[in-house]
Amino acid sequence: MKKFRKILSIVLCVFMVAGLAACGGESAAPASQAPAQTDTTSQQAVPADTQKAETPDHFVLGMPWITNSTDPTTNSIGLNIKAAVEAAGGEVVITDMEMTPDGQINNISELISRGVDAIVFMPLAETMLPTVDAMCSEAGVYWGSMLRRITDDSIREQIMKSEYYAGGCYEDDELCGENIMKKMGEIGVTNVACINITKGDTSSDLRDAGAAKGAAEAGINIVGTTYGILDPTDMTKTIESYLAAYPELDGIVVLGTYCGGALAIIEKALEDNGKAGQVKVGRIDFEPTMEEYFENGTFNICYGVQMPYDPFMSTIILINKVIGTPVSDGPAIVVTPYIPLTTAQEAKDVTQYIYGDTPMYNSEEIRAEFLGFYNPAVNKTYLEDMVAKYSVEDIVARRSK
Amino acid sequence: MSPKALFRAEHIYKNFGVVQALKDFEIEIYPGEIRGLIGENGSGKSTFSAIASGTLKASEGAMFLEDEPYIPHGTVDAMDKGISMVVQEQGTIAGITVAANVFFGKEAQFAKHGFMDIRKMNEETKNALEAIGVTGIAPQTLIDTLSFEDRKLIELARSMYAKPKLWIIDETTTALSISGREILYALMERQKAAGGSVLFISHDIDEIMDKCDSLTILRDGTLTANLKKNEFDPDRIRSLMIGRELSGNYYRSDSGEKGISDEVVLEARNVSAGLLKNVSVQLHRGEILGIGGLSDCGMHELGKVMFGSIKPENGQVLKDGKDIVKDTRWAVKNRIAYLSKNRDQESLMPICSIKDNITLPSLKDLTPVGPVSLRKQKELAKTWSEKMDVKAPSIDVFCTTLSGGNKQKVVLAKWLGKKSTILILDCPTRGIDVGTKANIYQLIEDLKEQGISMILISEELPELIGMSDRIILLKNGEVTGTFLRSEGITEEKLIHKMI
Amino acid sequence: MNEKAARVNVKREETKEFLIRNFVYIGLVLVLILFEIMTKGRLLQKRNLMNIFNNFFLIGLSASAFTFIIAISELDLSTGAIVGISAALGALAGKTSVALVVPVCILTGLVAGSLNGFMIAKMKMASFIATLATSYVLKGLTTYLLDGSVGVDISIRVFDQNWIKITTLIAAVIIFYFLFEHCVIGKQSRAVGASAEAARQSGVHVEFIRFMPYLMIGLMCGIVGAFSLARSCTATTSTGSGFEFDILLAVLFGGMPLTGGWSVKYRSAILGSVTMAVLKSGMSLCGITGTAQQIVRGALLIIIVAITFDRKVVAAIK
Repeated sequence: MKKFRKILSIVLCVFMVAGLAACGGESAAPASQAPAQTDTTSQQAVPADTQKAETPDHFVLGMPWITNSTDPTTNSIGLNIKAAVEAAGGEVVITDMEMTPDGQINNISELISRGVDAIVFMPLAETMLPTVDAMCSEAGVYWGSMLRRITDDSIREQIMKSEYYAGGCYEDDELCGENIMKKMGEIGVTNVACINITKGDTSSDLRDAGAAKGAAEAGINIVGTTYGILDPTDMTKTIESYLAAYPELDGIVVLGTYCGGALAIIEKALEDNGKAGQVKVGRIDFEPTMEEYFENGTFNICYGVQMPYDPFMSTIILINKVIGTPVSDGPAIVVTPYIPLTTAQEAKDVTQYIYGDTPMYNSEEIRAEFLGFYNPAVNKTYLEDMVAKYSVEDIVARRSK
Repeated sequence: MSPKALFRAEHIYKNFGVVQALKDFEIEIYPGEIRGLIGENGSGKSTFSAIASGTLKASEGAMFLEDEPYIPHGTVDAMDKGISMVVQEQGTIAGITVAANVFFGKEAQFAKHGFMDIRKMNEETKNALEAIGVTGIAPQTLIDTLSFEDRKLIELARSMYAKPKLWIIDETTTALSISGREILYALMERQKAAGGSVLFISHDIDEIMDKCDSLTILRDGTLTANLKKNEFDPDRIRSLMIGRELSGNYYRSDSGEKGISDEVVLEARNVSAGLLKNVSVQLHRGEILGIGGLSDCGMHELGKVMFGSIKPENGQVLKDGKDIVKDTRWAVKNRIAYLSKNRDQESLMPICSIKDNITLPSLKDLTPVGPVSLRKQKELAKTWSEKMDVKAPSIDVFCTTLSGGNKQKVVLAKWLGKKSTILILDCPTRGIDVGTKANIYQLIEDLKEQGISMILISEELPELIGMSDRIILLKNGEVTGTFLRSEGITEEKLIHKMI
Repeated sequence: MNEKAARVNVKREETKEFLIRNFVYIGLVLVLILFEIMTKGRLLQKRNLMNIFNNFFLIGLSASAFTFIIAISELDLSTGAIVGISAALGALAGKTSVALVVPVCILTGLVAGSLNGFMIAKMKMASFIATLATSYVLKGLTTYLLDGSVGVDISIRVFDQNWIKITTLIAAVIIFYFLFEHCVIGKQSRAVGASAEAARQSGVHVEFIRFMPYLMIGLMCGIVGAFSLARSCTATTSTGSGFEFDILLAVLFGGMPLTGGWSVKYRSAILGSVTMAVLKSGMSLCGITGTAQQIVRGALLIIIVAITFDRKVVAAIK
């Protein structure tokens, strides 16, 4: 028995050491390996351009994404990215997203080893991007970012020079923060409590900055901002504390949160305290329960209809680069605007058509309107026009046919 | 004798992993009988009582109570069916009141509209205690504030309250004082008179011979003999238990103080701590100093003070007349050893191999810096466990699998392996069977000859008288008398100073 | 007949015991074979081995020291927070000079570890409470210090090289292995975990033995913080979050008993970390998603604890 254990230990040790040695050996290898891989990818791309094949070459796009969520936004983003990739004849590989920067680096590393041709992801911190670029360049994998802006000049400068960075979209978080505050001002709110994701998150910080600016212009007093709420109980307690501490409070703005079903929780807390309707509520990012609250008149304004659109567009930019029809010479950065939402009917449409079970665009539409392979007119300016034309009505018109 | 058996067990097997604790054991107990069950530690008697009382399940075999098949599901169920037991070690539950302990698992009978009727439960508890002749323990006191002996009495009350048909008493008397024992014996007689039966487990042969009507003897998990009262004979019982002949007297045979130098190796100077008031004790090189008294006279505390594990409020403990015993770490380093009365909690790690137990204090001696040589460890452990004659399959087995006597040998091996020159032995033969007891006495004598000085703290007067060069008696934390071996000490003389 | 039955019984018991004792090894081999087949050989490809290694690396480093914590029958819930604050202070120091990053990380870890050790060994606080409290304090401090995220110059990536990581890990594993299995401190730690009073009465410096594991885990968390900086070039408030449970899970996967004492084996820490890394990588390679991964991991944990828990220890023989 003891002997068996010893033998097993030795076998396992040998296995481990051999494995590690192989890995260690690899660190020297990439120099020779990387160019080889680069060659294959460019070879894939070149014939597509010159010989005008019927369809682009098959490719695999990897993304670290949340796979254990029932949140409609999360699922809609996945769905629309998949639709874009499949329309271009590719395949999507999803790995479970880690919630820390170095965890996300491990995600990227894992995707690379699964042999993907491109990676699109939502960076948790912009400071990690140089690392990601180094890894992807080494392996000859294109990559794109989504939903996050690069604010640091030196990092942006460095990334924009990269051959493998396709670019990506970001929402103008600062403007959105400013706009939602102004809208709150328009409906007569003067004292506002804010909820936000967390300090350090790029979007969160920008929205904060925008909100402060908008509040100053609209003459709104922000009584406080609470960060990092993840569970419903904390959310309820936070709202109740604000209500108790500031009787004059007449507005709550959720600038962002990772707490699921946040709106329903806030509405419940307001109702329990007899403040429903009196305290106006605004929220960045969509939630399907909004329709009901719009109808009741207890919810007033939402920005964030375009949430699935941003990753979709980021993916389009990346796909175009992978299939050999890049939209611009260097990385292409496109800003997606926040679209406001103020009525129950709009909320209903958004739930059904943008956050529903079918992608916003079907394959033919994607090929004809977004892919340079089929439509030579596609370039950065063209896509920016598409972004400007994007609206709820347009999607409803397409999908309700 | 052919009355129908009250309780019958047939072909009982029990194994713990690969260890066979009981092999084909059978017993028949008749109404109105006090049956003794005797055997060395590890012979399986506690295992059997645990099976009969529902704590353990037999691997094989069947039991019958009044000819009905008897399969207990836990102790409360066993109690309802008519078998209750008082266990060897502590069987009360800390943190709750006396009453809650007496009626633990049976609280439902006091439920009134969904609430517990505490008052009624306390009253019943009082009745239950008075029924066994105990007064002066209030039902609502917390069990933790009671002494070990009082707690045992609570257990007696609990098991008797159920009016059992068969009452099992598992080595309870070691924990009881003389008055406590009297209560127990009276209860046994009452149980017998009422037509019930008693299974009395002990390894005190004198007690068994005195109290029991018949006797069942176990050795290594097998039944060796069933004896009737007229067949009782101490030597025969002993040899049936141990499997070899054993002479009657196992104490020291000499009658004087010899080999003792004037040099004082360990000394308590005007020590006060808790119970102890201004106690001064001197231990000479090569001496066996007995310390005796009633259970709560402060002698156990004195042992701990001299080992440095209790800090004296006043006074000092000095080694060789100059160095202060700071703490246990200093004491161990300077070759003072202590054997606790609570062996399994303080002197030994039960879930740990014999080897690691023995080598623990000596690790730094084996290799002062760097990795400890496994070979040296093994050698040390092997040498001393062999010298101490520890009975175990190997030095790698856990101490839980050992009997009480073997555990004690491991503790001694540990200190001798450390080359300790001063041993403080607090009840070294507590809960140990006769065979091992004799070994330990022999060992103490051998150690004395090697010049090792010992303090022997004991609650058993014959042991003190039999082994000590000098006896110091304590009463309420003060020294009340000193006796020399050469004076010819008797129990009467000592008891006079103790009470 | 009964004799024979008993013998068969004993034989069966022996086989059972053998399987239980080696369950963790057998489990690891099974997991390897299973996933190697299911992923059509991709699991053990060079590139993926490196992923498994990266998953395993940080947890393996700390799990080595964590063995001591479990041995003395205590817990540490502040490891994630220590990693976080080490990375944060390291990153801030890196603004002055990149050379300062690693020393500052390590020093921070040591200070945080000794704080835990002091509270648990000297002030005799329950480790569960003390480290939980520390973790809140440190997390708060990290948020305050970072006020967002702080990046480090990309030159710190020189530490994110495979040979450095492999060397560090092998060195750590060997050192801790020797400390735990062969040195006085390892034996005394287990003695304290088994019975603090018995250890004290055997001359063990119980306070010191309770202090040291926290210093060690602090050191390792500092190193982990430094490596995490080297990998992502950034310290954020989420750096190290959830790390404490990853470690706990890893040692439990290795079949380590939380009761401490002599049943604690060093191999549990390493085997557990490896098994967890292989499992994670294998499942994502097979395309098993987050929800299913959680279920599989939870179910496996129950099975492992149920099988490796030594009930015999509870049922002592008299």
